[in-house]
Amino acid sequence: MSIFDPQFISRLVAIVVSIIILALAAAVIRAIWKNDINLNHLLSESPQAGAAPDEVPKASLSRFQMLVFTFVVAGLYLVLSLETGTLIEIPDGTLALIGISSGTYVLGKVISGQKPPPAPPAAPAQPQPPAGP
Amino acid sequence: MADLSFVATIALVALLAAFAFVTLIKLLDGSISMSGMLANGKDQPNDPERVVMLIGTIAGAFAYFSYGLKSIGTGGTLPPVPQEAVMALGGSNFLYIFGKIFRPRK
Repeated sequence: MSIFDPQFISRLVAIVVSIIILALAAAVIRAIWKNDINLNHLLSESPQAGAAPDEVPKASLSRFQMLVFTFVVAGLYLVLSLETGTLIEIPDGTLALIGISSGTYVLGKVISGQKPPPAPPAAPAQPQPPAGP
Repeated sequence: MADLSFVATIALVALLAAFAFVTLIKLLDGSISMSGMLANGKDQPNDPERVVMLIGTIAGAFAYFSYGLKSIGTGGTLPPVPQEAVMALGGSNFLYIFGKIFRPRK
């Protein structure tokens, strides 16, 4: 088999791309495990305006729902795709389920973001120039 | 190419499982905080609409997953979700948003 053989080249490219994708995934998991990627606030809402910097925000139910549905649908999709050896179709009802969950998350984020920001500190009074003669 | 596909698939599945496993461990040991999930604000009582949504989420996800596992070997498509289940979930999520808007947050 020559190095200019198209089959050899395609096999080489497939191996290299597979290694790159797997290495990326492994690097992300390693960083999560070592806390370089911090998942501690994975379920937390955005901090309230005016909250103390060290205050832990409360957990968000819509984020939890999205996490659960993502794992369930992605897991099933992976299992069934591996079984059939091809990418399978996603029914409309499943898409609606994911859409409702994601829409709730976005709406919740919009509602939380509508809280007024803290008022800026008042500017010091400017000295008045003396009145002319 | 078939052997490469097999090895890559196994490795990818192992990595995805590891990701789910790490997330689950962090949820169980409390690194990922779940406090206050059922209340509209910190140190407030639990809201009924959030309890309904939590139960609906867990029950719906478990039912869909077990239903999907049964469809392995029967054609290979994701199982359809009944229209009533979509409406029930949409209703509980609507209640959640409604409570988030109109329930006073201290």
